[in-house]
Amino acid sequence: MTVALSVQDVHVTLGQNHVLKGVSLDARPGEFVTLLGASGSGKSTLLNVIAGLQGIDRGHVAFDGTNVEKRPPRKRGVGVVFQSYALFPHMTVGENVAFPLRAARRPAAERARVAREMLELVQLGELIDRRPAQLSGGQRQRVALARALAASPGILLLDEPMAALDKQLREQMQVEVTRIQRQVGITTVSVTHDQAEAMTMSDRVAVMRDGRFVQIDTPENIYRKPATEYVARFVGEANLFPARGGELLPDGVTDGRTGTAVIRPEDLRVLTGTEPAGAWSVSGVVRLLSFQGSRFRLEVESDTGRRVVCSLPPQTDAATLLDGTRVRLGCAHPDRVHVIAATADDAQELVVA
Amino acid sequence: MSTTTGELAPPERAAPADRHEPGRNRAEARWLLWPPLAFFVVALGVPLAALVIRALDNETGDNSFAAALTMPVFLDSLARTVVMALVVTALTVLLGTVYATAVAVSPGWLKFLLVAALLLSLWTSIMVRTFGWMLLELPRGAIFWLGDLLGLMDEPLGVYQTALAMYPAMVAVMLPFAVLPIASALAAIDREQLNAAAVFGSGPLLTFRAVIRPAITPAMISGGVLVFVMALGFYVTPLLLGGPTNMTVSGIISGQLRTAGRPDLGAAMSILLVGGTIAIYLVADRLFKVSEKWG
Repeated sequence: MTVALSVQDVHVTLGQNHVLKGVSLDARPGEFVTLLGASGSGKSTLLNVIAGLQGIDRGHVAFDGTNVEKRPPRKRGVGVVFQSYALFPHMTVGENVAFPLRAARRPAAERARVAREMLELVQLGELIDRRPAQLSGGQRQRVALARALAASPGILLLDEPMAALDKQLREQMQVEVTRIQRQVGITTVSVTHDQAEAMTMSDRVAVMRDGRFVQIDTPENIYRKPATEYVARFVGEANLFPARGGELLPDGVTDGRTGTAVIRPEDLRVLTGTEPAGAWSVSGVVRLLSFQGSRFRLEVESDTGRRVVCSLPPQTDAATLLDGTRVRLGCAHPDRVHVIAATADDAQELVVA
Repeated sequence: MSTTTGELAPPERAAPADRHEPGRNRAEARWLLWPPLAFFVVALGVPLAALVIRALDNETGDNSFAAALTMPVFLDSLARTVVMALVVTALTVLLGTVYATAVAVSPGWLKFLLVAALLLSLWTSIMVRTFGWMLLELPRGAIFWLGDLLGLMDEPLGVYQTALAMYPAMVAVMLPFAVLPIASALAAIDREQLNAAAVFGSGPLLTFRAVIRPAITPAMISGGVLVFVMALGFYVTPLLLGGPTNMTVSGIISGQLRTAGRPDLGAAMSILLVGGTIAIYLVADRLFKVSEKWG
C-alpha cells in the first residue's frame, strides 16, 4: 500500500514564530522527496505535520485525496524513522519491529513472521533477539527502518536519518535506504540539511527556507537550474556573475544587468596565455589550490575582489598554479550557463552580490 | 567521534604525555573521601559503639540480644513493623507514581504547585505534619467538623488511635521519597519514544505499559526500597496516631529505655533494628542498584 501525498498551503505557528508560511507539496505514490534546508527552515516541522505530531493553523494534508489533518498520528498509517531512531530500549529488536503490529492487536504469529521478514529486508535477520543497546549505529538505523515499514504504512517519513552516522557509513546507508525504498515502493519524505544526501537519495528535492519552499525539482535541475541565488549557493559550490539576458557580463560590469549567471566550478577552466579568450573570461590571482582526490579545487580572487572557485582535473600540474600566480578563467560550457532572472524576491541579494 | 579526530590529529598530539586530568589523580581523590568518612564515624560509629557497650552491660549477666529475640512483645512489634512498612511502601509507590505522572503531564503552573507542595511537605518537620494529621483525625477534629458542616456526619470520628489513622499520615510523610525519583525518571523519557509509540498506533494504555513503565520501574524500586527502609524506623507517627495497639519496634525500644528500666534490652533491640535495616538495604542495593539512582 502506497499513497499519494498532498500538502496544501499549510501554516504553522509555534509561539511567536511563523514556522511554516503556506507550504504546498505533492508527491506521487512511490516517490522519494527530500526536504532540504538549513536548520530553522521548517523542514522538520513539515515532517511532523505529515506524521500528525504537529497541529496546523491552516491548510490541508491529504493522503490519496483524503484529508487527514484532523487524524491523530496513530490513525494516519505512517512509518517514521526518527532522528534518534527512538527504538524502545526494553524490547528486543524483534519486539521493536513488531511494535506497530502489537499496537494494531495483530496475532502473535503474524507479528513474529512480519518481524522476521522486515529484518530480512534490512539484512539483520540474525539480530532479532538482541537489545537496541547492543547494536551499532548503522544497525539501529536499519531496525528503525524495519519498524517503520512493519505495518505496511502508506507513507514513510525519515527525519534526518543519517545525522547520527559517521561519513562512510552514511554514504553506504544512503544507498541501502534507497534500495529498500525502491523495493518496497513506498512514498517517502525525508528531511536533511545534507545536500549530498538529498542528491543521492531523492527523486525530487524540495529546498526550504524560512518556512517556504524555494524550489521543488529533480536533483539535477536543482543543481543545474537553481531557481534562486540561495538555492545555487546552498546546493554545491556556485560562482555567481552578473548577466544580461542570456549573456555573461564582463567581471565588474553591472550596468544593464538583468539576472545572475550560475557557473559551477567544473564549468570553469584555466585559459593558457596563448589561447584566445572566448566570449567571456575572468582574470585574477590564485589564492588557494587544494587536492581533493578526484579533482583540484582552485580558488581565485578576481581583479574585482570576487572569489571564484574552479575544479581542475586531478592530473593538473600544481606547480603552475602557485599562490599569487595570475590566471584567466574561461567558461568551459557556455551553453550550460544558467541565468537566474532578477525577481522581486532576489532584488536584495543582487544588490549585496 | 573521537576516532575521527584521532585520525586527523598528528600522532604526537593524539598521545598526550600525561593522561591524568588535573585534580583527578588518586591521592587527591582519596582526600575527598576523608570528610564524609569522618562524619560517618562520628555520626554513626560512635553511637553504635555506645549502644553495643550498653547492650552488653547488664546486671543479670544474660545475653540481652538473646533476651530481646525471645521477648514476644519485641517479636510481635517487629512483625507488625515489617507488615506496616510493606503496606506503607506499596501505597506510597502507587500513589507516588500517580503523583509523579501528574507532575509530568501538568502544565507549567500546576507542575510548579505540585512540586512546591511536595517539597514544602518534605521540608516540614515530621512532628509538625503528624500533629497536623492528628488535628484532622481527632474525634471532633477538622474532618468531623467538615463532615458535620456538610451534614454527612453526626457521630464523632472513630479513626484516631487506630491503624486507619496512621497509614494516610505515614504515606504522606514518605510520598516525596517516592515521587522525586519517579518524576525524574519520567522527565528523562525521550520525547521521541513517546512520539514513536503514537506514530506506530499505540494508545495511552499500551504506551504506558510498553514505554513508560519499563523506563520508571528502576525508580519505583529504588524509591520503594528507600521508603521501606525508612518506614522500618517509624516512631512518632504510629505512636501519636496509631495508639498503643499499633506499637512499632521503635516504640518498644523507647519503652525499654524510658519506662521498663531495661536500657540494655533497648540497646540490643536498637542494634538488631539498625543491623536488620542495613542488611535489607545492602541486599536491595545489590539487587536493584538503589544507590546509583540516588547518586
